Amino acid sequence: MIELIGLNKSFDGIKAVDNISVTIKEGSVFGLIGTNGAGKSTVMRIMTGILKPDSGKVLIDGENVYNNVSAKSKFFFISDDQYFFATANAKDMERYYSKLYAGFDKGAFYEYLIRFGLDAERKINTFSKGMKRQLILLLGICANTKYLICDETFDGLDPVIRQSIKSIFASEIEKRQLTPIIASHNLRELEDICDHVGLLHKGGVLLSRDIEEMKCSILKIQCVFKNEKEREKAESGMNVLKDDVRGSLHTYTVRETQENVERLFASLETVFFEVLPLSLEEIFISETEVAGYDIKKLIFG
Amino acid sequence: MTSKNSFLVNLKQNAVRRTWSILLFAIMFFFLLPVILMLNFSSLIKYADGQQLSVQMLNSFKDVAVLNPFIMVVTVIFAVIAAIHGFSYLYSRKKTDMYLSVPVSIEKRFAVIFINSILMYVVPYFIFLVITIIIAGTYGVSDAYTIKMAFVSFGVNTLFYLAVYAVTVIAVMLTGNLPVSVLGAATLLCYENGVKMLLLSMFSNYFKTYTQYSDGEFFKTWFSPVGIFFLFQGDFSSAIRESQSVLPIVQKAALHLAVLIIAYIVIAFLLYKARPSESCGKSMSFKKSKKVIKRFIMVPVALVFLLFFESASGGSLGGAVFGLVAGILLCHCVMQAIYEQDLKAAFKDKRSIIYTAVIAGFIFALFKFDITGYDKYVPDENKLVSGTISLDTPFGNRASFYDDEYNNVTGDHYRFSKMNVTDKSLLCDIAYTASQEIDNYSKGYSYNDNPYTITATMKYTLSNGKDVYRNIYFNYKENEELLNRIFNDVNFKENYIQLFDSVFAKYESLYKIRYSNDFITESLEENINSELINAYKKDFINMSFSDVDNTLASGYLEVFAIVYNDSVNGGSQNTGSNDTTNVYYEFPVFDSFENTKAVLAKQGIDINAKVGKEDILSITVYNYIDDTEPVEITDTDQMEEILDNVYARSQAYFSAVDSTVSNDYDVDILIKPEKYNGYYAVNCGFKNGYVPDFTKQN
Repeated sequence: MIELIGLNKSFDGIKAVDNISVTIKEGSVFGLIGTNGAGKSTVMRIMTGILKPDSGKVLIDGENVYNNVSAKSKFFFISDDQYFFATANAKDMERYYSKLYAGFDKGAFYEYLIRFGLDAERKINTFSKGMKRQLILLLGICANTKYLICDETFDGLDPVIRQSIKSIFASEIEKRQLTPIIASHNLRELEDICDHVGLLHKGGVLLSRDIEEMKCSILKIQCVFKNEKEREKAESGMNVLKDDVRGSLHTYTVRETQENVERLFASLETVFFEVLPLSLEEIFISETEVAGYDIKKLIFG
Repeated sequence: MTSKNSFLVNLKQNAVRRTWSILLFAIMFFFLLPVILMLNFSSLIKYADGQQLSVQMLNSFKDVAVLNPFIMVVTVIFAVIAAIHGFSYLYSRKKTDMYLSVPVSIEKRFAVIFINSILMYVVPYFIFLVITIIIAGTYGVSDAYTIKMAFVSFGVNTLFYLAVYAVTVIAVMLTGNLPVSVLGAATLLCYENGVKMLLLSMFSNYFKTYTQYSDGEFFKTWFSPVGIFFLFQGDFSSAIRESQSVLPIVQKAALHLAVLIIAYIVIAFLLYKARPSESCGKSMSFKKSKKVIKRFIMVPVALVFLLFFESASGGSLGGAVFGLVAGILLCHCVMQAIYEQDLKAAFKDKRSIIYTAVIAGFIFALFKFDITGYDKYVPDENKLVSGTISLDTPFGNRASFYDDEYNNVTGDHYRFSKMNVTDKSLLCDIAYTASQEIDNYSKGYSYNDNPYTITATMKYTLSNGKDVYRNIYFNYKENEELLNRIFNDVNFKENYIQLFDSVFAKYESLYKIRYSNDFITESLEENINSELINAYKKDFINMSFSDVDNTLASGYLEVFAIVYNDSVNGGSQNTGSNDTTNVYYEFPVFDSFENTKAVLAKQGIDINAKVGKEDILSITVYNYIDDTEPVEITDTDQMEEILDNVYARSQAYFSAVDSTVSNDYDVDILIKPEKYNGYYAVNCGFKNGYVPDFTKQN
């Protein structure tokens, strides 16, 4: 488990991380979402012991990460702009990392290289940006650490590769309880990969929830009531987050379970009633609007 | 979990990443050692004198393997490269993210870079040194001493390398990008010597009593490896050239460097640990250190500008203030622009301009207005142990001095090492008299300030072991009693000139002695050397200042010998080399020196004898007042009159004379060639007040 406890960090008087506390459980995929400048990379760099927080601490399985080799051996960090040794090839990087991470799986690494069509002997500085990302992801996966921390690593990967990496993640999670932690500025990049999402804004955590939990607790309902009285009964029986009205058609976003909603509407007289599935994007919009933010501006520009 | 052999792996990986530095070092050592030796040897074999060939080849081997100046230069460059290249990852966020996120302890990473930095210098140096020795051996010119010294030099050079390396690492830790690190390293390496040079300039510029002998302990290099190494190299090469023991020199330098290395490495490591990784790319790593560093640079720079503009404006206060302001503003703007990496930020942090101006202005005032009373120093009699009075007058300037190895030394050096006046009240009275009169003198005494000035360099040895040096000036006409007290002090007398010590006595039997007053020069028989010297010693000890004040010397004794430095039989025989010292002393003879006169009289010498008018061919008088054409006098009577009223210039060199002599006229007396087997002229001056009318008329 990774615990971020009351983290604060400023650069030249500008607050980059503002009292962040998040807990990342093992065996799940944690997504950290935020706009550019939200503080994702700073949180990641504090989480990996690169930066020292001004206050607060990061515990990895109970150990403080800063200047702690034991804690650092439990994760592999992939930065947004990964460094490879000049003139090195994939083999050289494997040699380096395999000496640092005792559990490094060389066999799997070379197998993955073949599977992803990466030449072990080719100099990395001749690789494309996407190829470099694939390589570092493979190195990270094969390091066999408990946590894999990726900063904007998936951005720009083509869908086929993304899918392949996701399936590797899934198998590693199943096999050895790998916990990938992925930061991205793009919610759609993480939608299909994360179990838990933390939303950062202006250095603080706006929300941190399990996606399933969010999906189950927020619903969208479209209905047409027979009369005003029925509408009032419906609205008083639900936790309505938002109500869009177009003529007589009401579109509600509610924080309720589907069971409760169906039970309520069974007792009401309606012309039309339907519970619609919500995308992660819509859930986020709803959640953050409740918190007083316009997420469309935050995440989707 | 981390691999247990990861240290060696890290070492190897680190070496791989520093390949170009390693190659550069190896190539340079290859050229600086075996290649240069081979080139030298081939040149010597081609052109050198056959008999001297092996000596010259040995010297060449010594120059390449032991005293190679290029190695000293590249050692500094290599150390800076190794430090900056080794820790260059700190300049890049990309690299920092990678290195700091992997499971390697900070201690291990530092140790890996440090050890590799040592190896990349030591290994190629050692290998090519051994090859150089083997090459010299194949030519049969290597000897055990030179080989030993080559390895000693290797050891000290390595320490020097490590010290410069450690200083540069500190600079890297304090800064966040390459150009600023290079500037930082240069600043740290030169700061101590630079500031000391600045202080030296300020002392000598503003204090009338400052003397270079004050430099001593204060201007020793303590913290700069470059300064320490320069001093060591000078002593070391002298010892090697003279095949002397280098052990004390090496021990001293090695110990000093070792202490510095340990201290600097500890500081560098602590900074490395504390260095925030977000500082990569910025100019400075630590926010707190920014202002301190800025102040430490701005104040001396401001003072350098101040000195320059004050000097350029002829010493005006306005020039000094302009220089101070210009220096502060310029330095502030440059440093701000570097700090903020933005030219527009040049005028930010205006408060630091004010602080610097206050500090630099205060330091300037300390010197300019002598707030500490430096020039009015009078030692506390209770804390004074002894002292040295190195007087220029009456004949201190003409005296010669030799040290125990017969090297020529200055009178000040000689007296500081030998003279030990313990009359504390005398020393304090001298200091007090000088302090009362110091305001009468401008900086750098000139004759125009006061023609009756006596100058001396004083050394006061205090009970805490400290030596305080001062140049002093005072009027000797008004302080004759004080001067007589000085001349009554036996310790002063015996060390004022080199007559009473073992160095003078050592070659007494070899000396040839002549008496001369320029008009006549008479050689003396060697068998009276001892008698004459003893007589002279008696006269000199009995001499008071009043005896020589306003009195011209009658003439002087010339005592000389050629001493063979590698001699046998007490220096009288040459064993082959041309290493000789011409020992030469001049001792003035005054009319009051009865004992000396008596011995000279026995040799038929009248100390006041001059040539007769019949021996003079002509007399030329130069008038410097009116700057007229020289007047040539050939009339016998006129020549006789002039002869009675002139003195040989050399007579005045030995006295505290003033009114008796005049520098307004020069008189050249040309002696007939038959007198001294060739033309001979005596340069004279008129005794004060006398100027013959016929020279004026002409």
